[in-house]
Amino acid sequence: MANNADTFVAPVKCIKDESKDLPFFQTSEAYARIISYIQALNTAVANRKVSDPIPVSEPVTKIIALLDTLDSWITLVPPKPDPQRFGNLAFRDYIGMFEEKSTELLEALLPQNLHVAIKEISPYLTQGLGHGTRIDYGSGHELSFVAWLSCLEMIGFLQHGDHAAVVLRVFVRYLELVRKLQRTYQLEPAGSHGVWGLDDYQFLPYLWGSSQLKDNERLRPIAVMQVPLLEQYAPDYLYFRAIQSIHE
Amino acid sequence: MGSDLDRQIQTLLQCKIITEAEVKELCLKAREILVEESNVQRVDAPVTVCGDIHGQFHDLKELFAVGGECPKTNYLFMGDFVDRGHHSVETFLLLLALKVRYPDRITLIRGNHESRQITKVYGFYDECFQKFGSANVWRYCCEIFDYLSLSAIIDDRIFCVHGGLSPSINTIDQIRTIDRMQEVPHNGAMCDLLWSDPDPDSCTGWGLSPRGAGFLFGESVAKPFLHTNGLELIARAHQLVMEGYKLMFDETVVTVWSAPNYCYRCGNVAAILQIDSNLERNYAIFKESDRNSTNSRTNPQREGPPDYFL
Repeated sequence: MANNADTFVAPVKCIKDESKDLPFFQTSEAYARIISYIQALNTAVANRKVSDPIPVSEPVTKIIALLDTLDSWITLVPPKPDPQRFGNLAFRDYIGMFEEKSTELLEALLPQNLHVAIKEISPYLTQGLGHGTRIDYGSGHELSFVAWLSCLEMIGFLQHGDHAAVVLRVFVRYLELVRKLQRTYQLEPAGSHGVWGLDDYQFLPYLWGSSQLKDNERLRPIAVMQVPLLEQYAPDYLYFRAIQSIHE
Repeated sequence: MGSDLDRQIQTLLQCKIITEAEVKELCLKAREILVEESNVQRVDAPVTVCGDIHGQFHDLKELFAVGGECPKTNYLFMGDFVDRGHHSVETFLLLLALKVRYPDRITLIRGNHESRQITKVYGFYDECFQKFGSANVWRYCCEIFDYLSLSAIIDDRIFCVHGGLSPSINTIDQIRTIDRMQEVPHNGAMCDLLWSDPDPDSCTGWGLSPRGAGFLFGESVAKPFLHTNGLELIARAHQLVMEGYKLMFDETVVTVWSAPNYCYRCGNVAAILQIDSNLERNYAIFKESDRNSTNSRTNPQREGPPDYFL
């Protein structure tokens, strides 16, 4: 994505026929970009705790403030008391409000010269919290949020130096937001693998979380089965926090 | 032969697996029965209609405890027997064995998870490999999936399908013309029947489905379909329901969900729809089995650590 006004377009769904479009996607530039971004973030947090002192730039601080705003909107759209099929219909209103205000949010976040990119990057953000019609959340929404973060780097708002903070500050804050949404609106697990997957909702906390524990000699994977260890290590380690969240 | 089948049923009822050779033979026998069934299989009341099971074997036992044992009670299962749960293998093979043993007492129709593509992702393939050491059992079962009926009709009045309606289908007769014995297609009538959802929050007719397959349909589609086909109810499954079942469109469409505490986490109850010989309906609710506490994900029951874990 060059910083050229005419090259920003609103994204459209391109993977429609899985048998053809998915293999095509897997050899595309877009795929290479998102995978390499995830891998770069993975490298940046190797053996680092959440509480480690890391550089936190102004853009990172502003993104966290945006997530705080999204969190504050939950009280403005309380769950509806009447009987639902499963997920709470108020989530449709929440997402509706989010979609309506997304341009405003991004205009406040980004400097003037980057506003031209908003029409392209906005859907990745608004699809990062779950699906308004299905009232569900899954690892695809998590990926959409990370795609948004990678867009912010592509347009120059975030830098390489922000990688550790993107995981240990921004993504950690994002996880707390989506966990609250999952609980509050009783979001269905989208595309859950049931007992054949570890988590109904999240995926990347396990990847980046394992990088945090890469060379850790004290903590073995079996430690996540012990509740006292979960409590002790959840604040610092995404992996432990994710398992703790499953138990909640 | 009959005593072999009875013995296999007893084995499966204890949540134990039969041998690969026995599975192969069971599938051969099942195929002979299923190939004769219609895309819209006629079922006589009384019958108990059930929704998704998703490999939750002990909860299927709960279902039988609440609804009555087969064949004393007649059953119609609306698909999604496999994936996500711990025991897709035992669940599907038990239902299949009951079908072979009591073909007129139990009807199995196809869900969107009775598909090669889907089961490779959502657990059934992995479970078959884990329990049998190869993909053979999965392949035999997938072939059987191709033979399952697409829908059923109870006393010409209650239409049962896994997902919902299709813009390509106005009459029950049109469903009969579909060539069903194939992998679930990505689009078209057969796909829609297994993937569509009613959408009570939109009063308009058809909508694009966020699932990426099938369609959303509203009251203005459901009611004419019922009227055209002389039906009083459409029963379907496919969507998780907190209260086990959910009536829509002035009680002309019902979602029945039979997997309690879905994924051992969702906290929902399950339901079955009991239809008596006068077509009177009763919804029986049930909770998850106590046996599940030893099988939940916090206590992995595999021998040794899972492959991805260490």
